[in-house]
Amino acid sequence: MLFQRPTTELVQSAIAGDRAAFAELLRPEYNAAYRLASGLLQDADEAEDAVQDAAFTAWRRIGNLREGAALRPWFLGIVANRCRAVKRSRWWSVTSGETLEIEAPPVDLASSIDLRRALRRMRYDERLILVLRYYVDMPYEEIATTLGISPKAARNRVDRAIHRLRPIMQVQGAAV
Amino acid sequence: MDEQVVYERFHEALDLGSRPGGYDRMRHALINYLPAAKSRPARRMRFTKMTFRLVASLVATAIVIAVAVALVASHHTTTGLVNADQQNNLRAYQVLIRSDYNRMEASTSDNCNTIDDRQCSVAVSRVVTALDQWIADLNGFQTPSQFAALDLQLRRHLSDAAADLNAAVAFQRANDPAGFNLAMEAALYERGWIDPASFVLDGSYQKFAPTYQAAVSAAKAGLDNCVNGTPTPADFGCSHLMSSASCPSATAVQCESDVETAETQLQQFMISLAQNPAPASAAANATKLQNDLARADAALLAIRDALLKNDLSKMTQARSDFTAAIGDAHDDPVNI
Repeated sequence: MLFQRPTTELVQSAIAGDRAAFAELLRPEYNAAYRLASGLLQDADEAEDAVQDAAFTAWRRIGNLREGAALRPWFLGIVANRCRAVKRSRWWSVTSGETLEIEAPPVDLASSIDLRRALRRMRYDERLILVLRYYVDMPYEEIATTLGISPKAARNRVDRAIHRLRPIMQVQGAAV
Repeated sequence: MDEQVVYERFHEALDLGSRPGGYDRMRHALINYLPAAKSRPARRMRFTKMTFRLVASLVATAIVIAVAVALVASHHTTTGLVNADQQNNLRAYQVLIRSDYNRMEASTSDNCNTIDDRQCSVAVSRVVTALDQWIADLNGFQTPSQFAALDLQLRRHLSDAAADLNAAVAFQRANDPAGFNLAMEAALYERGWIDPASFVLDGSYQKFAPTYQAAVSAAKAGLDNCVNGTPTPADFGCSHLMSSASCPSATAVQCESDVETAETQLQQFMISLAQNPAPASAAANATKLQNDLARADAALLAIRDALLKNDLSKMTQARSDFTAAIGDAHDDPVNI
């Protein structure tokens, strides 16, 4: 890598207590983390806060990062958990039904319902895997590492979730 | 289902628009984050007549002090303005450092991993342009006085990094893998030097030493070990360079390693001193110590340059400069 500090060196410095090194470690992951959070929460402010909170959590857990383990799936896993917590807190504080975490209704809704709305109505785990795959653009292997499942299971879950979205995609004119 | 269509639909539906500065906000929060103190349960206070008298006298004293401070301040408005100017200058300097650091970071790429990379020279050119811009920005700025020595060294290391990268391209054109690897290794080391120096200068690095006295003591102990031939592992580079066990008598790789170890150690001393300004009574000696450390560091850069150019006479001169500068720095702290 041209003129980039090796990740291993940054990890070692971060574990030794160097916060600036830790921040540099997260620099290349920030955009993916923000995309994940904004895809899940669909709110720019909440997404930025969630990534920041996840960074604090990651800092406290940096000692758990195994040597040689990829940083991105590890960090995005923390971001995903943080977003889940934000969604839960919304459940308690918001009374609007649209943002509630409810059992997923059938997605073959009226043609006016867009993809965002359909995603909001999906189960959190389904939404997470779709956002990771189609918005963060992660390969199945990284999704698997992020979620702690096998790549095959990741592919199956994506297929199932996208199947539920199929009517929406058709309504929107996609070749499905 | 056509995956490409799904990708496009998701991106169309979920893109909220970029929020510039998000990473920098997170970085700032990470570095300055302190857990909030747990709030204590409020206690009900019981005021006696004596307590009221005590509070009243404290309030009166505070008012008298505030009036006195206001009077003194009104007589020193010029000083206040100067201090405000200094603060503004420091803030502007730190913004400049961070901005140039980010530009440099954005110019890096996944290139030059091997001598066979045909895109390497173009990629190097991007980084070198960013480094040159950084140096130009620093040259056009009034450096805050407490950072003068470290700032000067940063410019030298930025320049050295650019030279290392250009040398790597030259070695690539000459089809010299050993030279290419040595130059890339040197450039990578420079990146490891530039990072902490930048973070210290932009005010985001944790303190190496808690006080000025501790910073001086640590530097003195390291210099003692180096000069007196009783090195700990951190002092090996400096000690080898002082005792002729290294450049040019050792292999290029060993010489490079000793130079890097010594540079890292000197950087720690310089950072500690930059982060802990000396009391007024020791300011002159502290400046001399920092300048001598900077001289030693500059000599190390010259040794590396001589190594890359295989220039024996420059190497000899640079080693002599290093020995002299370390000797002077070793004598400095005793006077502080």
